[in-house]
Amino acid sequence: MSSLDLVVFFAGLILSLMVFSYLLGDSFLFGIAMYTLVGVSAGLSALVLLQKVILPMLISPLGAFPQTSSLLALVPLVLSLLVIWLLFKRSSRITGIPLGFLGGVVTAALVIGVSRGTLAPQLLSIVNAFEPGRMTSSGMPNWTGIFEAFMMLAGVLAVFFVFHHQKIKKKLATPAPAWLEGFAGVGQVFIGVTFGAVFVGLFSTGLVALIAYIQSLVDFVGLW
Amino acid sequence: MKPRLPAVVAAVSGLAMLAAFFFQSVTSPYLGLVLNWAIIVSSMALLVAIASLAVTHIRFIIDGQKGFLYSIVLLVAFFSTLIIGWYRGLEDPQYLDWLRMILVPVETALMGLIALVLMSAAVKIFRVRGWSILTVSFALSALFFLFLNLGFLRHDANSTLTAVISTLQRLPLVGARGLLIGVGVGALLMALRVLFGQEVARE
Amino acid sequence: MSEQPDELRICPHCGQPNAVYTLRCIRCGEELEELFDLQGFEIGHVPGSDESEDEIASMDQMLAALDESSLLEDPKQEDPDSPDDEADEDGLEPEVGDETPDWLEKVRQRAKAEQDAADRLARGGMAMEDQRAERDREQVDQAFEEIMRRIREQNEREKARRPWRAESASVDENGDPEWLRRIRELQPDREEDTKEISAHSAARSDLEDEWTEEELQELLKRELGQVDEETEEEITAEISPLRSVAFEAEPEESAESALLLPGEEARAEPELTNFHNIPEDDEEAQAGQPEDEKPLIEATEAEQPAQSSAEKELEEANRQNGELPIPLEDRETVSTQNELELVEEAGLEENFEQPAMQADLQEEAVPRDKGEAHDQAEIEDKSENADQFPPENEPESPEEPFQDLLLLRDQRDRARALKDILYQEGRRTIAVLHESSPQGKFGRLVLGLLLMIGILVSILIGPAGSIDLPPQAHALAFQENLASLQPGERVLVVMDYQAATRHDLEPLAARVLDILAGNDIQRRVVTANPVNLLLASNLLEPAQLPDEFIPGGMLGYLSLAAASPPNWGGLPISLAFDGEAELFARIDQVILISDSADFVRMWLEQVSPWRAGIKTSAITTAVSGPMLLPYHGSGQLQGFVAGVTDAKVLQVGPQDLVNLRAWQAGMMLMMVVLLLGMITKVDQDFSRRSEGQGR
Repeated sequence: MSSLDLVVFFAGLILSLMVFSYLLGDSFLFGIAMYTLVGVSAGLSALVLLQKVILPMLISPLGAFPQTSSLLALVPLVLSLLVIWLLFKRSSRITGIPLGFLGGVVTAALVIGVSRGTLAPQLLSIVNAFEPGRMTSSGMPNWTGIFEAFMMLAGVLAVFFVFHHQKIKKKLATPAPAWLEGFAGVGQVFIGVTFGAVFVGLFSTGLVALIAYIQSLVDFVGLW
Repeated sequence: MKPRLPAVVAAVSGLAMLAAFFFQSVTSPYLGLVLNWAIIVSSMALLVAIASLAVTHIRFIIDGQKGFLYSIVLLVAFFSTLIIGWYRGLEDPQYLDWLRMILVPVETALMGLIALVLMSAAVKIFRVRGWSILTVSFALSALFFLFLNLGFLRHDANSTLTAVISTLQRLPLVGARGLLIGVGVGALLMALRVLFGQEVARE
Repeated sequence: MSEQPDELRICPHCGQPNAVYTLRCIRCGEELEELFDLQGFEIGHVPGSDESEDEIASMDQMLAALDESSLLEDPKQEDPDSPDDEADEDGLEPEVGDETPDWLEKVRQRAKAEQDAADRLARGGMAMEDQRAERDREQVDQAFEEIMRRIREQNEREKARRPWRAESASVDENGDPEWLRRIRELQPDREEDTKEISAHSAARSDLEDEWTEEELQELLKRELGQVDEETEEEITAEISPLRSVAFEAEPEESAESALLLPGEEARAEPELTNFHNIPEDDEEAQAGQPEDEKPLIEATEAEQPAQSSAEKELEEANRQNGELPIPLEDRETVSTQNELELVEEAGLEENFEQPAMQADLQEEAVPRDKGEAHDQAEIEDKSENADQFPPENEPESPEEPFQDLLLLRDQRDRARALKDILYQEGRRTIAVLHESSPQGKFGRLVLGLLLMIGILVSILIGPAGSIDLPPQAHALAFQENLASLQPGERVLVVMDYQAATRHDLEPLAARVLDILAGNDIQRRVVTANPVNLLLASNLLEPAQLPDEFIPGGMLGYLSLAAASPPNWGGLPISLAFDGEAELFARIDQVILISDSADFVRMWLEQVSPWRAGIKTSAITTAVSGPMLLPYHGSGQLQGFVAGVTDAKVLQVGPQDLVNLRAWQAGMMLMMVVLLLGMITKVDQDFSRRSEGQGR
């Protein structure tokens, strides 16, 4: 390891220790570490975008003028220049064109993707749980399968009612019917179970990172 | 007219893309072309956002606003990463090592901090939110999965216990599915509003 | 006050023209008679009433002539009280031995009767006038007393409220108050006039201060709210010289000394338009108020220049009559009667121990106006300057701003609100929602240190350990899917994770790549995340980068999945590829290495539908596991492994994982903390309930 490497290594170590100063409060050291992280990440992203996207996809095709590909590259060039104009004049009308175009494309992809990739499969999965083949096993009722199928249906509907109930609660002055309240309560149970599992998973991931960090510190100290 | 133009452009381009997706077998090359344009424009927008970040912090330094020291740190880190990487190349191993030495410990420490913060949050959750169906079910679920992760249960000794544990482990599936469908429906409705000009009419 | 402004009185002794209100001739010093001309009643010698004198003289002469004329002798005496005298007149017999004719006698008698009647009428009229005048004077007296009472009360109130206000009405060696001195400094010309007037001041007689009938009428009307605006200033100016003088009601007396000559008054009036700048809404609000409560702004405006010129006139009058000048304080105190009413109405507290200061402000305002519209803000500014005069121990109270300003109630309220707003600027006036207390930070520190110490102890003491956790269905499915790969097949490995989660992912990913390599399965590692360019060397060969960097993130993946190359050439994205542009060409499976459930979800939504034949599985973190269960349940995801809990399924060695004993300790600590939170909440509720029951 060269001296420069050593310097950078210690800089990273000190910065990582600065992060834990957050336990004492939002301190100056924590701010230094965060701003360094943001700066390095932004610099890396800018470098990658310039070298891996803009140069090969936008600038290089222009060199093949007057081929079709180079002519077609004028369109994203104009759009990109309009986006750059956003830096200088945010309230300009024309800067809305490339952003609108981008929004339209993403929206269309979202429509296709959500409907084909989430809604349809998930709803079909609920329905398919009631398939006779799954609800029976060797001619006998598969009670586990039946129970899971009904529980799945009821649970999903109950989760829907949680959102609907919250929306209605805000609008209505009078309290909602008891059955709606009960059904929404069941939905809250399922949501709480899911959030509990997510909470444990998040803690687990953080714990692993903390253990790894402390382990690296112990190894570093052991090396010295 | 001014605020409507982006919405109109979004609606027109979105409907065109939707048609292209529906008739993908025919419009596949043009679909790819438009998607490439979108890639370039989105990358450029991201670059503009990064440049705007730098300009903002430069302005903070020039104006001497409170916290301009942080801005100096950010700009030094940003420009050194950009210039050194441009000079040495993105594939330079030493440059990547330097970045690794800075980014990995800091991000790891940040993730470890999340675990510490979650512990203090776990103490306060009932004090802040009180007793409710959501908080009680949340706590019970968390306790169950925490206990499960300890590995104290001998699951293979009893098949019934294994089945019960397996069922309980799949319980989050119900809530997650409901959430996914709900979020998906909301996103779909919002996207359709944009595509069919409802946002234009609203403006 | 005389209604004949240009009228002068000629001294009957020396013929010197004198002012109407003077009592003695300025030349010979003799008393001038008949000072007052009462409207509708003229007796004796009245200047300008020669016509009436001539009429009386002609009447006397005629009667005398008639008496002497023999032709007009009436033989019979007629009774003037009897209406039937006419019949009697006809029947009257001429007196025996009287040479005057009957008709003359009749005429004489009639003339005498008429004269008697005239006398009676005159006497009656005089009596009626006396009564009316007396009544009016009484009313005026009462009104005047009322005014003075109010002024005294206001004074006393001010004295009681503001005892600390220092008197700035200091008097210099000449006996002039400070405000007057300032005025003189500002206007040296007027100062000279004032000095001339004061030099010629003489003792005044009481008659000089008496009111004319017209003045009393005006004052009465004013008190009753029927005053004409133009005459208000006259009355207010009139009040001041009378304050210190005993009031005597003599209806036949002439008009008292006018503080302002009519000419001056007419000249002053145009200067006073728009003196105040009170907004219309205030004036409209005042319209609904009883007139006697309305702030007499116009009077205030009028009296300010009137004061200065009134002062001049007063001094001149004093000079003429040889009386001592009325103290200016008194004059201005009384003239601020309108201001008092205004202040009362606005509810402000003025310090009447400092009438000089206030008048000073007004006087300062006057010369600056010079007939221009007077901005209310200017008054407020000047009053704010006046705030400098109060002593330093004045408490800064936002509740009583602008004490020296002539503000209406609405204006005062608005000024107060503005001052409150300015006072609160920069200060936090609402509670912060989530203000972290030092106690909270200490608790966080304690818990953090506790966890770190537990981890440290677990690392330092004992082996790393292992955990026997029950395998989950999705992990088993992943393992089965991985095992189903045949040698020679191609797997696309997509990296998309951050450095923070590498310890959770990379042990599993490295194991998977080892399995792939061991089974002679070709892999192609791609990423769209710049950070993965650094992290790929942890999974791949040292210093090895991913095979391709996919620009555009998910849009790039979608473009590569949904689109086909055009016939006019290649798409721009193909220019970004170093190797084969067809990403999904001959790919059998896709393994996603991602720390985000959203990335996996988007892949399953955007890419997988276009490449339905390609199986997809994922390596993810523990936090993403629950949210990917639905996709596994629906069959979109063949399987996934999430974190260290699924490491056993892939047979990842403990040396490749983090210290599992420390991991267990952390889990146990979190359980304890969660239970502790529940117990403290129960205890809190219990104690609160018992407190409530105790009450």
